[in-house]
Amino acid sequence: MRKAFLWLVLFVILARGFVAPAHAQFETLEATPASAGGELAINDIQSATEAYYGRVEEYRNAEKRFLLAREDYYQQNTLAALEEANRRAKDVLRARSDVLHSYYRYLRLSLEATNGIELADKEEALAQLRFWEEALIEHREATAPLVSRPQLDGHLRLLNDQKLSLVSAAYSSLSLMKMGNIQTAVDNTILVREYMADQIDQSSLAAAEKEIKLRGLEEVDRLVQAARNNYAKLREDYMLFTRQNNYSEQNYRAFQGNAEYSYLQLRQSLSFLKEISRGVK
Amino acid sequence: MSSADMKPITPEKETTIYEAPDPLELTSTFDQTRFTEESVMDGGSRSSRPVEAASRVAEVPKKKRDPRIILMAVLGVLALVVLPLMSIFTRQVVQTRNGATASPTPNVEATGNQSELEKRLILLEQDVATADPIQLDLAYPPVNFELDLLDATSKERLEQERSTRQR
Repeated sequence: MRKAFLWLVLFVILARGFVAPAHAQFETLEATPASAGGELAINDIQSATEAYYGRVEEYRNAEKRFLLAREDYYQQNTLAALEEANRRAKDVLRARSDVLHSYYRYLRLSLEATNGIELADKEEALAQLRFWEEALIEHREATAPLVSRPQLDGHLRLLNDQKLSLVSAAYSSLSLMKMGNIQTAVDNTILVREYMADQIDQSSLAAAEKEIKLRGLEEVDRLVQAARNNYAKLREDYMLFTRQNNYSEQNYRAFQGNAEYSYLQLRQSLSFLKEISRGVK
Repeated sequence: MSSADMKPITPEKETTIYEAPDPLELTSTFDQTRFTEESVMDGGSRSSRPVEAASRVAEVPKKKRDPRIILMAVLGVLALVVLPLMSIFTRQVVQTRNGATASPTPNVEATGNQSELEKRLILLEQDVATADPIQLDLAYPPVNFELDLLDATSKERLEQERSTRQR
């Protein structure tokens, strides 16, 4: 009987290791510093994403319980109801700090791993994200000694007042990542275009055919230039809103709409490059 | 045949004398669920046999199985079936969230016999796909930035309640 039980425990332990490598990885990687680039960075981002989804669930439950307890207190106005509301307020404060912290961690890791961003812009955005990560940890820790309703109410409102700055840091970072991706695609399109021009030049193609292909490359140049111009406009808008520390979700949606032009131009140039590459070795 | 050769006739088995059971005992030991018609059909042999006696005849030494062992065996089988399935499912979810399987871009390593130009084009295709600004981002946390815990009887709280009722 005991043997069978031990076998079962052993099996479950082994199976757990088999089932949840991502979660196990998260627990170990949480403590390790994030490395820029490479597989470790991808693993870090993956684990941060998983952690974020978990924290969202915890926050949703904590908020639901808090709102119910607060309503009970407002309706009954008894000391018991007040105590319960205080307890739930503390829980929701912790959960709110946790979910926000996990999100800013994910943003920082993703931004660190994104290439093509102007170094100064990247450093500034990373500094902001680090600041919020630390501020949220402090905010969570400061929750522990709070016991009375006025204290908890004050602490709840403290974060409410920071909403604009928090949101601005998040959406400006997301925009910066998109800009980095566009810049990388532009740079690589230019490199492939140059390489292709050399290949056409060295190939044994007929002169007329070479001419057609070179005209195709001119079309690619025009598209890339249009994508770059659009990118410059995107960056201008980005700088304007981030300086005001007011980069809202609305700004971000507008940015996405405008950035799509660059993307479409790059996609078209890729399509032309593929067409031109036929017959070139 | 001499008298010395003659052996006394002894019964091989000890004969038992049937003792009439106590009528009070009969009521508890007889199979009362059987119909009288049945006893006529089988010659009345079985109906007259006490149930206890019949069960003693049929009694074969059986090993009693511990229900805990059965429960553990069931759990073990379930774990064998469910855990590998869970593993496959969770891996798929993680990959889809990170866009690893959602992206239709081809893998460079999978196409080893390509020319340098083709390889560069495949890498560029990946870069362009990543540059799509409408790609799904991790949504901003759905947190409430208007949470508070007012005094139940405060003016602010009562005004809040009034405005909610009006809405």
